[in-house]
Amino acid sequence: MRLSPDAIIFWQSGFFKINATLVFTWVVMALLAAGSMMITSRLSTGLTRSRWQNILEMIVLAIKEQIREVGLADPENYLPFLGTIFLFVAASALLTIIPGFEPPTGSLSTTAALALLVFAAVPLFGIKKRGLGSYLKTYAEPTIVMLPFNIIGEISRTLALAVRLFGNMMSGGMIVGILLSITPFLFPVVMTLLGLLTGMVQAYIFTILAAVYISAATQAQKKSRPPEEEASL
Amino acid sequence: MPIDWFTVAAQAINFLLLVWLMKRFLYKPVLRAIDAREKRIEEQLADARAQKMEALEEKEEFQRKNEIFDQERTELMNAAAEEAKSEKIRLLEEARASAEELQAKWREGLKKDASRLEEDFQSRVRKDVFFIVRKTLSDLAGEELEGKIIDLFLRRLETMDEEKRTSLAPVSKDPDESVQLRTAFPLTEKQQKRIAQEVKRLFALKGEPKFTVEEDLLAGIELSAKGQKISWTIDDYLLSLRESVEDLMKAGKKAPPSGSGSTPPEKPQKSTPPSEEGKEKQ
Repeated sequence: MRLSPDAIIFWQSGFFKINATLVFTWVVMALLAAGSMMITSRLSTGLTRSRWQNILEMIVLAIKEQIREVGLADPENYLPFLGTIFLFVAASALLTIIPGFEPPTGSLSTTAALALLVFAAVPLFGIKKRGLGSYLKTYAEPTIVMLPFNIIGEISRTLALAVRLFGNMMSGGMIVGILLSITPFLFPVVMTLLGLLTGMVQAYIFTILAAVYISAATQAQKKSRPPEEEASL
Repeated sequence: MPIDWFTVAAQAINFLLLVWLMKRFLYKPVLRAIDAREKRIEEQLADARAQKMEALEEKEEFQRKNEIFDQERTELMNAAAEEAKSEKIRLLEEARASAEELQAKWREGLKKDASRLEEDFQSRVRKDVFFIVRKTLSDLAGEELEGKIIDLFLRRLETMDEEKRTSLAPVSKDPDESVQLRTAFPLTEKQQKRIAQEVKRLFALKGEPKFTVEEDLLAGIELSAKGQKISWTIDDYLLSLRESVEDLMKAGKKAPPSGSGSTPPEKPQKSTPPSEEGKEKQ
């Protein structure tokens, strides 16, 4: 049984290859980019606007509001990264209703790539906010003894992030495939609908977790400030 | 469950590319549009607030002007009403005065007409009455009447107050001055003699009195000497009656007609000829 679209290879030349994961990723990318371009090319700044623009504004503002609610004070800085994670995962899940479409998030390579990017983004945003030394100090808090545990925690949560998304997306497709062989009518449709919901929830969870990690990094900076410095702010 | 590290790297690159694309074509334009709209709405709200403030100020100004206008209008209306009232009173007064003047003129004219008519009437009546009386007496005057007149005249001279008679005496003492006796009818010689005798006795005259006939005297006799005269004629009675009637007329004009006016008042002194009361005229 094929567990990942990585196994479907269209072209390969040594280390380089073009598999279904990459192809479907490009499809998703093309759809998102083209859709955005089409809608934003005719943006209205007046009180009347098109329904597509309305939908886009609602989505963007909802994501921005979610980021703010997590605790990030200036969500505009994190919106491109976190918003794109949500849109990419959500679009991948949504497109599963098209027969033959393999969600790229059903590949552990993709989820691992996303998790690694989050893994890299958290310290980057943290360092950008507070500086390298100050950020690295957080790994030795509350004592230096906690340093290895903090590092392990950082890696393990990245791994969990990747595996959680992969497991959910892959299991959805897998269940539908199994059910098709057992009860070909009706029931797989219900499961597909459930898969859509699961996909949306996973997109939300992945984005919110990434936001929480980044927020934790920036809030740790605030908490580490001495009381007199806080009083001066 | 193998991880294809090439795919991982490619997906990471793909994702970063997607992030850039989304930032370029989605987030920036949409956020910019939202910001622009919010700014525009904010401007419109600020503009609306400013306009509202301006409208409120204009409203207050308008209300203030309206109150002033109302006040001025009321004052003008009051002034106009007052002026109209006074003008009305003035015109009414003028009309009343004019009407009164006209009425007075009319009454005056009426009074004048009535007076003239009355005077004409009275004059006519007087003339007619005296004409008839005179005519009647003239027709009746005869020898017997003349004799009685002479008797009456001589008796009156006789009974005349002594003092009065003597006051006439010096006039008759002048020798150049002759006493004239005028009668309305020609005297007989006997009558002339008798009268001359009596007159000479009473007035102690030396010369003969001169007799002349004057028909104007109607029926009567008149004695005159140097501007003074004593007479008894019917004409005198008539003149006396005429004066009495005129007096009555004048009194009737002055006083409204009453019960007493219906009959002429008694004038006993007029019953006797005025010659006795000194009809002397100088």
